[in-house]
Amino acid sequence: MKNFLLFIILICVSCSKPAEETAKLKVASTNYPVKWLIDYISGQTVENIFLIPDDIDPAYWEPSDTDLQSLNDCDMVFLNGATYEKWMNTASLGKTFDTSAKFKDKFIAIKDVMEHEHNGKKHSHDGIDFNTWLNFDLFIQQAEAVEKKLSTLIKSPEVDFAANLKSLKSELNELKSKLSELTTKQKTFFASHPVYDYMAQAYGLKIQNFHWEPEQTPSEAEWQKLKEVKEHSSYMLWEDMPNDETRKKLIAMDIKIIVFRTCGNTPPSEDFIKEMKSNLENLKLALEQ
Amino acid sequence: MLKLAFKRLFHHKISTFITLFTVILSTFIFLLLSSSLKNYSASLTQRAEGEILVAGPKFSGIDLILKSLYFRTTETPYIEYSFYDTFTESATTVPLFIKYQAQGFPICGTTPQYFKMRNNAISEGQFFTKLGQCTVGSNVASELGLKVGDSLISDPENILNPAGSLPLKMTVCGILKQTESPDDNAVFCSLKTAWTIHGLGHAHPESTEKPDYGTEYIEINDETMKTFHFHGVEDEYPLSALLLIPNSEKSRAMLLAQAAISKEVTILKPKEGLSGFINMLFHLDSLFFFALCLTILVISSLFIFTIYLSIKLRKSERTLFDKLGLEKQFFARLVSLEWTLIFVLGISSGMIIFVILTPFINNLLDFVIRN
Repeated sequence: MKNFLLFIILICVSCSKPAEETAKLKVASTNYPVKWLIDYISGQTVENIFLIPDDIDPAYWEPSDTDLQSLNDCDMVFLNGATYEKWMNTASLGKTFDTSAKFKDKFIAIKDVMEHEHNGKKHSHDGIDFNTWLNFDLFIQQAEAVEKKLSTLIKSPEVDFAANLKSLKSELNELKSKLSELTTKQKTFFASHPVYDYMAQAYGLKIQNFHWEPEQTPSEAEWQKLKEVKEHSSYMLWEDMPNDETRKKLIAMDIKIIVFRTCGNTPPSEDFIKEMKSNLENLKLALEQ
Repeated sequence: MLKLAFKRLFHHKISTFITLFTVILSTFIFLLLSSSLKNYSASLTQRAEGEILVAGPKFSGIDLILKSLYFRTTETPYIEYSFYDTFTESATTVPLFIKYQAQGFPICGTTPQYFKMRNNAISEGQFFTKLGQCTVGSNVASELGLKVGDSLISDPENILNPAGSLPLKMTVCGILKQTESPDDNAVFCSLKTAWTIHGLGHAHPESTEKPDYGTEYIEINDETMKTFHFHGVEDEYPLSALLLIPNSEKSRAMLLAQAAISKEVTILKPKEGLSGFINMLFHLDSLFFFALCLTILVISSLFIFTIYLSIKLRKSERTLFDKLGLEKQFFARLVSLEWTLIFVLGISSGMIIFVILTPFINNLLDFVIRN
């Protein structure tokens, strides 16, 4: 009889509801730098959704109805801002937070607007440059905004957001010092895409922009344009390693290739700092040659 | 005696009908007067309960509350969209832009956050996610026979004003579950959709077609969406109100203090804001009660007079009963029974009619509140 009672009690205990878990804050981010900021500051204690596939540039991502529903299910959608999320023009989201809203006066307008093809899709870099995170001072401001917002969303966090922010700032300041040091003597560069303007703003660089894609060989007209301004610099910043033909032609023109990944989408290393360090290493190697 | 009473009532059909009709009408009016004010007051205060605060233009008072809680589309001043960001740190904030109608139903431009705040659920389709989509209340869907995928065109602002903004053809992407609240009678869309109706956004080239009532309208589809853009500074776009749920008691106090010193924005506690209006209703209630008592007095006097006249007119009948040797109280009992039958039948019919008409009366009250 005792065993039977024990058996019943055990069944009751096993069937009873588990202790109610506190629901994790569910947020979403719209590019890798913002996603990385959230993960770093929150110590990955929040559910951070990132819907953009690896092979799509988040700046030209267009969410489907299902994606928008998923974003609306989140407690907060963290945006990069600075016109990064063009789809926001026609989408309707509930809670959004623009991480760059506080420094709208620092936004850079792109001057030489032109439409070009990329992965079979035409696009242009018109309006505002949205690669704000490449100016580490502005990126720190974005980090501060994220920390402040997370602190209002989570009243008793499992980790110390302020301490994480401090550590993040220190890492970014280190990158800033290194970049500043590397570019002390060399201030002029070519850029394969108009994506480094914030970097130029922060470190007093003079960058001549082109609209070249790493996987496509530029037309003769484009090479002619480069020849005309060749005396501007001997260094060209690329978002990724260009194809063999382009590389050979650039070497022949005595132009050094510097791969400086902007990290708009998740980099292979899945670590922003690591990727930026690798960029700085590429820059250092090219400048020392 | 009961049989005799019925026979007599059926024999004098016209007088019985008139008397019965008077009793039914008196009962109905009595119930209507005593319940309508109570319902009106209850339906007004129901949405004002809870912790929601309403922010809007300074000095907008009761109009702000009626617009933000009951979607009144009457013209009121606006606040700028920039105020939306002002409050987001202290409260869950839901912006509202309410000005236009679709087939007579108010269009509420908002964010999907509104549905979370009101705990609204979808019965069919989904909440709006894109420009040009709308999610309609259950009454809107049933009254207009709308299904998911159908179109709904906003009403022209002013058909006599050719310079006014064009109506917008919206796609119904979802239908809300019945809530027994003003949400059932509203059309919800994104702020940008509502601002497009307001004339702030358009596509190149603008796609226009001729609708049934002979005026042009804007249509947003995959093609026009690509070139769709808004003019002006978004921070200056109009908002009718902001619904706020403060993060804490401290935030609540700070928000109210912030509004107290602001020259442009006011924050109201809907329940308190309605108190003046409700006080007025209570005064009206007293007035109605007085009118009700007077009506009862007049109707009772008329009935007593009618009964007295009827007894007088039926003198020959009473004499006949005497001659037949019936007891003296027989006539009195017969008259009492006849009137009891009329009152029982009349009052119960009046009550049944009142119960049947209650939904229509409530709809009428909703319409009065909305407009």
